[in-house]
Amino acid sequence: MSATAIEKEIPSEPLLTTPSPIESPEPELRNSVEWSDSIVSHLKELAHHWELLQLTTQRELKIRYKQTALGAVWAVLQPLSLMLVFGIFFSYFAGMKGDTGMPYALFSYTGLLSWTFFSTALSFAIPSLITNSYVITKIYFPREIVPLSCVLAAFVDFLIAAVIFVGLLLFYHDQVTINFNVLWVVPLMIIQLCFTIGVSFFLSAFTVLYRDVRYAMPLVIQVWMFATPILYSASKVKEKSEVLYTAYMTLNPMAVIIDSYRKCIIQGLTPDLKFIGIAAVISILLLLASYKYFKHLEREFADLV
Amino acid sequence: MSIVVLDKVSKKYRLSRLGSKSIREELGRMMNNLKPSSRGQAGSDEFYAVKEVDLAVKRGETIGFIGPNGSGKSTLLKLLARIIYPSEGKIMVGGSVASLIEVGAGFHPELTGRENIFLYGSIMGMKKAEVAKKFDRIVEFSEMEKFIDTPVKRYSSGMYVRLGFAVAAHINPAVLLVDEVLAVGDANFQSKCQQRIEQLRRGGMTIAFVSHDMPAVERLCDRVVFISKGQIKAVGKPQDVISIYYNEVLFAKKSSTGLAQNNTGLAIESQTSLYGQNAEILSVKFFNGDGQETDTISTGDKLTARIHYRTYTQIEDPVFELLFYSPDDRLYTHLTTAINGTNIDSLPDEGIVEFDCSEFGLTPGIYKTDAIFSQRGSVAPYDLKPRQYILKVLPGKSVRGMFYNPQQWRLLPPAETISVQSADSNFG
Repeated sequence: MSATAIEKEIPSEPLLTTPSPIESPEPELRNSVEWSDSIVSHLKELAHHWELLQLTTQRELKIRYKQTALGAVWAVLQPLSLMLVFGIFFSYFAGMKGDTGMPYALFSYTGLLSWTFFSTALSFAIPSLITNSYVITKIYFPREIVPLSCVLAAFVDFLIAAVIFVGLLLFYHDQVTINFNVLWVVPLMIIQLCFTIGVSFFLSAFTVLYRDVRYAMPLVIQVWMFATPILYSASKVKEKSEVLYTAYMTLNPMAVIIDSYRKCIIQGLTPDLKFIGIAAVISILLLLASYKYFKHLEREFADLV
Repeated sequence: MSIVVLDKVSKKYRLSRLGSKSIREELGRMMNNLKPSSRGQAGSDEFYAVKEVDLAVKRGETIGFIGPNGSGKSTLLKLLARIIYPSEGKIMVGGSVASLIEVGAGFHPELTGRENIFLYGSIMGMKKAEVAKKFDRIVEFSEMEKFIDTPVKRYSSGMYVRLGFAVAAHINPAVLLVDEVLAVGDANFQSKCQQRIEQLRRGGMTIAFVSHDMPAVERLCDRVVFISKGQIKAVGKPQDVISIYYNEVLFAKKSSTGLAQNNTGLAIESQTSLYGQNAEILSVKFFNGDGQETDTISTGDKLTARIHYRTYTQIEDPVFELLFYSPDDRLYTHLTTAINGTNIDSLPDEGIVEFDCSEFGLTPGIYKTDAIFSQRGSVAPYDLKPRQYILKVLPGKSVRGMFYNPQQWRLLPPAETISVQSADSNFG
């Protein structure tokens, strides 16, 4: 066989391009067990996976409404239908009233809108580590992305459903006072996000250890809903007892958040800063503590889910 | 320079605490622990999946992990991938790690192929822009152009795996962990996968992989680690470690395979009780190059096999055959007196037929042998001993490829080279 014939047998061109050698010439060895023990390094790693968080949030939204005829309309339909039901039964039949001078539809929708965000986020985030066990046991990535994307997806739903809220504001424009106090919405939303993420981190990690949480949660959410001024006014609690009201607003950040939304958007009042301060402190401390707890338990997730 | 260092790494599981429990069970356990009688058992249900493993992987090295099922290979890979955390010891990694523990594990069935490429790439640590840049190449590699906008749940399992591997093969981590995923898709795609791994290797990537496919381990790895019961038994050159592995693990199982084989033998015999009526195979024995009886040789060694037979009637035009099967029952080679002109005219009532080969070509493994004694052209043999005789082959002269060929090489003298070329050009 001639030399040229031999050459022909060697594939003249590789099918694929060979990847360039790894960039950094002398990488530093890092201890993968201890390299992330502070919140700062956790956050750095999370920031590094920012795009993954975006993609998983998109995925959450996409799969939730894929193959549904109404799609994202469901995000609106849930608080809207509850508002109609409660409007008919509680307001029309039972004669229940919201805050003075506030149309009941607008009053209850404010509460239902922010509550739906909270409860949807929890109901998706809490079992999320278990439902995603197929990835968790196969590939490493910061696990907080899983519950976090559930909360963010619920937040997007919340923003979509807020369109109806704006519609209601326009419809009842003569009974609504809009002024600079509306800007309180931004810190309130941040507090609510922190609180929701904090609860989600804690309970989703805890669920991995004890599956009981999954079954207890629907009940807890329902009881919590009644302990929050969604269908009734927080002022009703204040009328009964000042002490009870203080306890009520101190222990339940959701009560403060919903009550404040109404005050600052619909009534144009400055919300009660004392309670907002307490809610903010609780939410941030909860978020930090539960994040720490989550990252601590994270090491065992793949063994337990 | 090391890129991965394991320092006394152990992974311990408490058998009774595998999986999560309900609070009630946990309370029950706590109450039990309070009783003095049940104390002190704590250590008994501990199980080390990986125990005190020390290992340093060099940059750019391809390292293979072999061992029997449940030996802790995959656990070790999961530890490296940070999927699970060691109970004791330290793992140091210098750079990003991507794991192919299960191809396509990050896919979501509801999303399309296109969406999943981005999601999976991102889970594996690629940036969106990077995936976008490599998107066309990934799709081309997977051969899935037509179905890229179809939800993954409509894919066949082969398509699923192809897309998964295509994405994974285009990430560029410092360390790539591969667990038994080379055997995906059809033969064509498999060779493409292996080619790609080979390319990544040459590109300077550090690769750690777990496999039971010894020829692949032999071909791809620079170094092999043999793990048994969570501990490293041997580290070194592929050929050396693989032969230690064969010796310790496969051959230790002799008694159990022998039993299974006897069972099948019996079953066949009872169905075909006619075997052995007119003639019988009494034994088959193997001999090595020194003429000693043995059941173990190395690839490329001299092998002699002797079939001891006895006849009860007049036998005309007899044929003797030996068939070698791998443990998964694939026929590897067929030796017969029928096709290489060996005619035995007159057969004594009892005697020995000898097969002789100066360089036996089977690659390492355990082979079970059928011995057949029949008349040329007849359908029913006089005697058939199915999977009765065991021959073990250790790595020897060569272990790459499917079989070994005896070979002669020489450098042609210059004068001869010219004459060959001119002869060629006559035809050209």
